[in-house]
Formats: sequence, C-alpha cells, structure tokens
Amino acid sequence: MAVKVQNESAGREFLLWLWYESERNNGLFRLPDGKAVELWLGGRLALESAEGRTASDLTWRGDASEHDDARWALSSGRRIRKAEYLLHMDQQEWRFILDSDSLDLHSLKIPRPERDGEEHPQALALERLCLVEAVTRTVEKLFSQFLERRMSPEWEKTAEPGIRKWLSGARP
Amino acid sequence: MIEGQCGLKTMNFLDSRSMSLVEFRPSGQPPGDYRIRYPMDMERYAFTARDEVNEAPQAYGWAFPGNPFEPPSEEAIFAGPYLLFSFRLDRKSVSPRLVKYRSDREAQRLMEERGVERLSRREKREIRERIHAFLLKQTLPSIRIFDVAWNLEDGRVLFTGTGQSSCTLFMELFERTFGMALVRDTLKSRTERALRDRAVSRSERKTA
Repeated sequence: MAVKVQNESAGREFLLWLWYESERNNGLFRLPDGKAVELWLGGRLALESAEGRTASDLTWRGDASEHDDARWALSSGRRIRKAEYLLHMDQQEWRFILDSDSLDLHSLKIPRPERDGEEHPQALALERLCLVEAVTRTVEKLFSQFLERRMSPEWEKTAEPGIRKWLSGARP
Repeated sequence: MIEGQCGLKTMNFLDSRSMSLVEFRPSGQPPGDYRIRYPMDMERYAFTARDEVNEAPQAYGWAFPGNPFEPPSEEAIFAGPYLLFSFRLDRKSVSPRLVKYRSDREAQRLMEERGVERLSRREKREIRERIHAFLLKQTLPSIRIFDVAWNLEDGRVLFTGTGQSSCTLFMELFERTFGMALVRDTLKSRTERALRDRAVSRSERKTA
C-alpha cells in the first residue's frame, strides 16, 4: 500500500534520511542508474522545532556527525531545516547546503574545473555548468530514491524503526 | 560577492567557487528560431546607460555575464545547450531617519518664513516627498548581478538569486522578454515530478 508523503515533511525527512543512510552505508549511495557516489554530512546543521521555525532553532558548526546532542535533539522531535553535505563523485568533491523547504542548493562549492585561468570563457562556463548540473541532478536522483523508499510498505517496517534506533544512540 | 566603488555586488556563478541556486521551469518551449529571436528580445529589455542614471528607486534589466555594463550579443550568450545571461538589479534607498530629519528642518524653516505655527498635512507630505526625491537623486545605487543559465534542451533555468524580491522581478522580466511564465521549483513540484517520472519509468518497464 502506498504511503502518503506529506509535502511539508518530505524535505525534512529527506535530509535526515540522507544523514542516516550515509552513516549506515559508510557514505555509499547507489543511484538508480547504478552509479556509486559518496555523500557525507558536512559541518553545518540547523534544526527547528517540530512546529516549525522558532526562536529556539539550534545550529551546529563543526563535525556534526559526532554531535550526539544533534541526534538527541532530533530524537526529541526537532527536524532538520538545513544541512551541509559533501558529495564525492567521479573523483571530485562538491559541498553544498540543502534547504528542506525547497531543496535549493545554497553555498554550493563545485570542484575546480579542468579548464581554468585564461581559457575561452564560454568553454569554461560550459564546464562549470556541467559541474553544477551534475550535483543538482544527483540530488534529484537521491530525492527520487528517498521517495521510492518512503512510499514503500517497508518504510514503516524497517527504515523508520532503524532511524529511530539510530537517533537514540545506536549505530545504524 | 565583489563590492565595487558604487556598491557593485556580483553573484557570478560563472566565476565564483561558491554560489546559491534557485531552479525554475518555463511554462513553454522555445520557438524554432530562438537563436535569432532571443538576442533581439533580450536587447529590448537590456539594462542600459539610461537605467544607470534613472532616478527611480530601482531599475533592472538583462546584462551579459562577465561584463554587466554591456547588452548581450548572440555569439556570447549561447554555450552548448545553454542560454547564458545576467539579471542586473539596481536599488537606491534613503534612510527614513534622514528624510524625517531633513523634512522637519525644512518644515521649521517654512513655518518661520511664513510666520505660522503649523503646516497642513498636505504641505508636510509634499515636503517629505520633495526631500525624499532629492536625497534619492543624490544616492548611488547598490548594483547586484545575478547569473542565469537556461538549459534549452531540458528547460531547466538556474538563477543565482535566492531572495524573494529578486526572484519576483526576474520572473516578471523573463515572462515579458520570452513570452512564457517561469515556475519556481518548490518541494511540492519536485515531489510531483519525481513521482511522475517514477510512474513513467515503471510503466516503461512493464511494457518493455
């Protein structure tokens, strides 16, 4: 039976799922086309209360994956509003902040293009745009993968309990 | 961001290593002769030298990436499947406190000159508007440049401005220029698209 995905919570659940799956699989994600990428939580994480944005938003800077208090806050009902991720793909690295409201990419840092310095500006622009589109398409594919899992009956049987257990401190 | 002498700030994702992006989808398809039409359409709404000396609180128009003070040329704006250009937004603002201070001073001067104790509401309003216009004329604009990359093959439009007002003005100018509305990609539209694509690929797998 397909599970209804609430639009408002989908973004927040997606960001949490990314962090959880990253820790569960040592960063490895296999995209629907079979391509393997690595995704890790970065150094910035902003949480909000369960009711939405409040004055008591919590923000972490640093190695958030080591922050047990971030996971504790999530286990007590807070949700991820924004999170920074590192993507390793094709031997290159992207860094970006994902906004759970829109899935827009903020503070996106792309790899240094092979063409640099005094190249023809159009060729350089094209290469940079390919690097930008590579990350936007990958985020789309990951979101699509998340929705597939979220809407499957297995979500309530395995994924959701697994995430709850991980938030309470156990290794995923 | 680069700050210039007159408050020039650029968010050039063609040069910067760091950028923030908003995605849009146009509501239509480019015409067959877009390589000829689009440069002409953009020229019509290009930011010009006249806009620079405009006394209005804001002015905006298209500009060529890398050189925000020149209108776009055909050979420069097409790169692979992309149409590349910039959106320039100039804004002037005057401190309300300064307007009030100057207006109060002017009102005082006028009352002394006329030998009256008060001015009418209309007179006070006229003073405020005059002072505001005068100060606005003397103010240098804050210049912001946002880059746009429109993938004409898959329809995706990337925009480096994330603020609500810059997006709204950009969308309005895009529609005026290209004759099609822009729809901002939201979580809802991304979810619907992902679910739709999933249904299509499932159906294709079944028929294969």
